[in-house]
Amino acid sequence: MRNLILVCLALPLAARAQDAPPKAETILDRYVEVTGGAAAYQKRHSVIEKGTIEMVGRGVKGDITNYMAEPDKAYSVMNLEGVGQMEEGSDGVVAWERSVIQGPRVKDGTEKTQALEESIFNAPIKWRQLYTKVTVAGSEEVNGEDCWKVEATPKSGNVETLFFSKKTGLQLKRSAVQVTQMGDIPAEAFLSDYKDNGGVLEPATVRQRFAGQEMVIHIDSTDLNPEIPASKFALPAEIQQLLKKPSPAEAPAAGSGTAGSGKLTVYMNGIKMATETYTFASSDGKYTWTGSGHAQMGPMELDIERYRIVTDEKYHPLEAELKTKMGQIAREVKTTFAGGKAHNVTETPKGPQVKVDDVSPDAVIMAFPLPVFPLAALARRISFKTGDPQEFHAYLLGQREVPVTVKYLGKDSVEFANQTAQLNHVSGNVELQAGQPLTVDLWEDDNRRIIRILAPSHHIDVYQEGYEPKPAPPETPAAPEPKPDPEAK
Amino acid sequence: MIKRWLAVCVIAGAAIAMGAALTPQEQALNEKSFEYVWTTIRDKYWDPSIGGLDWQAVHDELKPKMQKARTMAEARAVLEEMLGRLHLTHFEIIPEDSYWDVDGENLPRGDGETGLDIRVLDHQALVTQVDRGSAGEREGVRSGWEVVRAGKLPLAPAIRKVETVYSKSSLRELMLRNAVLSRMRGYPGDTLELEFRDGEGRSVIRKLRLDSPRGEYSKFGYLPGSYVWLNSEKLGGDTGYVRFNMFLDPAHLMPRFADAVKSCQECRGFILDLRGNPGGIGAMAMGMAGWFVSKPGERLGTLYLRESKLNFSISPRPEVFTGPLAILVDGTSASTSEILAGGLKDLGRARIFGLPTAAAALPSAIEKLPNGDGFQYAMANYISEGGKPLEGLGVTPDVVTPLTRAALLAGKDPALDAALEWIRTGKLQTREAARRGVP
Repeated sequence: MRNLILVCLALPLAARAQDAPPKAETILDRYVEVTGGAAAYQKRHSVIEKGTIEMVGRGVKGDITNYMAEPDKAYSVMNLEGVGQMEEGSDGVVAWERSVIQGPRVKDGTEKTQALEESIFNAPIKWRQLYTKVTVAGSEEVNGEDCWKVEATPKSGNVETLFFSKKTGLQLKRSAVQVTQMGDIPAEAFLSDYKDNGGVLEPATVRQRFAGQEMVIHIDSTDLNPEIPASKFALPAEIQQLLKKPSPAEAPAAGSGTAGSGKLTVYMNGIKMATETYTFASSDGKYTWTGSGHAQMGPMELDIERYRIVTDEKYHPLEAELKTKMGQIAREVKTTFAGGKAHNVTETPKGPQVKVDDVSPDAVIMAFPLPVFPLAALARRISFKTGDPQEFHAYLLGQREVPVTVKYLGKDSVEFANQTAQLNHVSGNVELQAGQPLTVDLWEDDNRRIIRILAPSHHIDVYQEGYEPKPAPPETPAAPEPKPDPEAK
Repeated sequence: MIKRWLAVCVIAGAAIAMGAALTPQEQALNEKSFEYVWTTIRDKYWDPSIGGLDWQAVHDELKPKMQKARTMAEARAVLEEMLGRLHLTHFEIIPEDSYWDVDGENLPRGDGETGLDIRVLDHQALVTQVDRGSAGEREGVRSGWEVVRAGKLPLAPAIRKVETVYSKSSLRELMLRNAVLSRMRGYPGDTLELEFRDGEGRSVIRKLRLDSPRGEYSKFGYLPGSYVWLNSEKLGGDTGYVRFNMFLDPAHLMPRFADAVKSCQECRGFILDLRGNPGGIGAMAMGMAGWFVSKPGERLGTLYLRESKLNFSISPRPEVFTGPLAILVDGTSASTSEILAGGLKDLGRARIFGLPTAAAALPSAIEKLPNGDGFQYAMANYISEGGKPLEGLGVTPDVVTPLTRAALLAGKDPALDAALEWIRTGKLQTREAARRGVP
């Protein structure tokens, strides 16, 4: 009843909204209001939904039960006739699925992030937490009803387009590219048949279209705030067994274990210019490189307060963050990667600026000119089994993507001031600035730890802590300057 | 699966004789059929550009021909010409009267089983397998015998008919097997008289009391219900062997498949026999592959739909069998069988033994046209992980093991024998060696 009143109250707002589009934030807030208001949502702590599912035109039907609890627990079980049982769940940390056909599977990368976000309880009132950006992208009819079209960018994953009725404020449609085990699949969901569940209006019917199929889920009953035993959200034994298996990157062929750190000293023309420290961690299906540094470039000082890159286990970038300060100029870029796009949000005194770049799904994330330690991510990916050129893409954070070609040159005996080490030598080419190709030589140990980086054209030499540069050879007298040609014009 | 779809499409009504002149009503139905086929391709073909063809021009060129068609044969020729422009299989016009001779309602009904499997070689329906404890075994039927007659139905006319209709189709072997087996049916407990020709060419009559169907009855969507079975055993005590009749009823089949692999973790090798398996639910191929592939992120291939693509990704199971894997296939292995065999071959995970498969890996539908003919069309394209489509090409075995009547009469199974040899010795039996092994 309360919801009906709210819907009626919202009508005048809708009428006014005909003239100019409201802000996307207003539309999303209005949805919360017309569906019951934040206070009504906050009275809900757990839910059990029971319903039916049908694959339209295929004669396949079944039943579905969803269990959800604060803050981010979810478990769904579906029984399809002729197919059997399919389950999926999340304990807030691990997202998984298990079916009689496919067996158990732990989700990773964007699919995992997406599943974890979908498990957040009372999601409508947490839209500011879920989306980094929302904008109105015009209006469009959905089933004959005029709707505001809102593009919402999640923290990770693909941009979602949400359609809200101008008249009622209710969401009628969602379209997005869904990240699944079988690939990125464009999907449309039509929401209808809103029912009052304990003061909150929710769609009882969801009609989804994807990959040439149509599926209708109808919720028949909703049990509010039931006691759900913790075991319902516990990871099944098979999932735990999978989690104990080493990931491919942890396998010996891929490199060096699951954690590490380093300290690099950068020299330019033999003069110490910068130091960087960084850590690498592998956990929860993600690789994370985090570091900071300080550089003195002539009169300018650069503080790299924080640099962080997160990828999935296939080195597909998920997010990155760079916070620097050069003199009084602070710069902070936060980037999320999804759907072949890098979505950069740069904080400026005038407010956040957004830049979206095309980016390859497996791009190596770098920064130019500093820090250099992100090369550690590339170092882990180079194959030492071939001497053929290996192609990569590097995304210069907030700038653009450039091709990188590397070649494994075999093992070198590399002399340092304090030791000689047998290291893997890799040579790479990258065009960081248009028309200025940069050749970089990189030496890494068998644990894929960068020991030395050399960029001769830029007179840059980088050393890992514990490896001291050899003293420069005594300077030879400079050749005399050529005399200017008086005939030259 | 293909057979079942065909069965769905069987329609009542009198067969139209080939070559008979058309009535104005029939002519109108043919023109409607022309528009139906053309529009279906325009709207449902996975590539909106229809492979670069000017599809409207094809319509405009062929429409007058259809209007001038004076017989069903001429009308079908126009439709076949239209589909022929696509240069793909799985786009076929199946004459209405051929349904009657292949799967028609005048054939015996019932799920009773003889326990015999059949392949047609050189126009002869040969027994290729006699199940243990089956009606066939009880009556002493032997591999290699030719089935000449089932009940009152002689098989030769049906074989000739199917060979004609499917002369250019990769589905020929599959349809021939179906045509013969559909005549060897009855209700459980019925007695079916079969006439055989033994290895010496003598006529042998056997009366088989049909058994109840093997396996579990399963229904999936609009497909007619089927009995799905899985047989697993250890050959020679150290080689796992699994055979099942179709990729359906995952609720029962997948756990049994899992048990077969899990109980064989220490086996010397594993053999997956997909001969006679026409496919079913495509996702089951991914689920089964997960028992043999330990590296995450691998896939069997990709299905290209009009608006999206689906990767047939493999999820490694917690306990993966990592030993040698042999897969047996032949011309009656189709669809999901080809996706599984082709994908694991492309990944270098399995060695394939037997004969080329049916090359029918596309998800296709068969619809009834206004003129009564069947219209089969594919809704997606499937590219195996090796980069080639299975459609039209099928899976070519690594080790080709021709099937001969002499081998069957000698109790040999060339594909299985070659796979066992490979697993036991690590050596491949060449085609010539396989031939030499035949007495």
